[in-house]
Amino acid sequence: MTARWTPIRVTADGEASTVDWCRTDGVAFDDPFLDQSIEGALRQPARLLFRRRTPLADLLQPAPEGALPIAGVVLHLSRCGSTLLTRLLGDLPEVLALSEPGILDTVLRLPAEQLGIVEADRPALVRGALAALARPDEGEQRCIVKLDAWAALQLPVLRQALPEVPWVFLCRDAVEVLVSHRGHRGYHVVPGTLDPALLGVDPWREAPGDLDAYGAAVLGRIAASVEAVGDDEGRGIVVDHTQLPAAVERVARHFGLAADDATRSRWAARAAVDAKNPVLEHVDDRATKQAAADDHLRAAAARWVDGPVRSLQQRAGLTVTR
Amino acid sequence: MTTDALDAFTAVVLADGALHDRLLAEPDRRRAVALLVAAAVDLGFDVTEADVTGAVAAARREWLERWV
Repeated sequence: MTARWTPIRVTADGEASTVDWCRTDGVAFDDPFLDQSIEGALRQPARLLFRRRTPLADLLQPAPEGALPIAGVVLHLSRCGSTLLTRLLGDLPEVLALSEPGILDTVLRLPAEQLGIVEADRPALVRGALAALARPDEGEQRCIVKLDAWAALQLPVLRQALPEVPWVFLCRDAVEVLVSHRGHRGYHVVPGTLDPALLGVDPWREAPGDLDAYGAAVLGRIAASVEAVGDDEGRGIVVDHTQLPAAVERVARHFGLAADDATRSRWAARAAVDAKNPVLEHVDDRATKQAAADDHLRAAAARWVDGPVRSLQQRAGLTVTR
Repeated sequence: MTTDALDAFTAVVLADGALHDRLLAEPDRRRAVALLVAAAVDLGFDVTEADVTGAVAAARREWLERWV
């Protein structure tokens, strides 16, 4: 057995920042999110007790040999099929799919001084963290990584870190996304979580007490960040929620990956169940979400997010009305 | 046993890949703890099952509270 050490946590403490590592050989990263697989691995006492801790700054050094090449990056608006897409890509036998690794969020989101780096080092830190995560265990040859929704705000950093790597941005009608967040708000649409400096605006000041407006503003900033980059000389494509699961073929090709019939059979089975809770059947909830949207939510969407999302949907090939 | 004994055993495990592999190979949690205690005692460390389960509980709590 070859030992695979995976970075599982960054403790940000300025120049004393550290990375925790645990052995993950024999652990399939096949849960909807990587941290769920880590959580499961740490139930084994020897994995939990016998961990390593290294300085975060070590990730700025050239990565040791053996990291998988990064085939593509999945970015998204949230609640729009990115977990399904990532799991479908992970069904390709040669692919290691990393879904929202916590340490990548930390190195992308926290202020440089908290991480003990200078801002100019952030792309190298992202590259080092990804190289540390992208270690094969079962013969994988390529790695794809899905990031948290707010990582799109750092798209310029990602492009510096991974200048040749293709990416996809998944979007969805903003009203449906906002209705989903009303039911179970994601981290990024809760005021006080994301640094206003990262957002470039402070929507809580503009619409104090209005959670729908805050969420719409954050989603609008995410969508606008992607729109501003354009197609990144062909490296960036946009897929709409309505184009899944069929669009996985297009994304796979964009990432230089090819599916065979066996993989397509797995994809059909995967798409029939809920991506985040596979014991449940997949339900197309678009009509339900549209019906649940009230005038207040629609007004928030119209003010903050509909414009950039519709532009992105057009890039995805949809015919949209403004 | 002291925390020092478990810390010293941890250092030995991290330096000995074969021992680490052997301790990781047991999927059952209770048997994994017993294996770990036996390995520590074999190497001369004064480590008991209560020490290990206590350390596991503390590490687990520290992990779960990482966002707090």
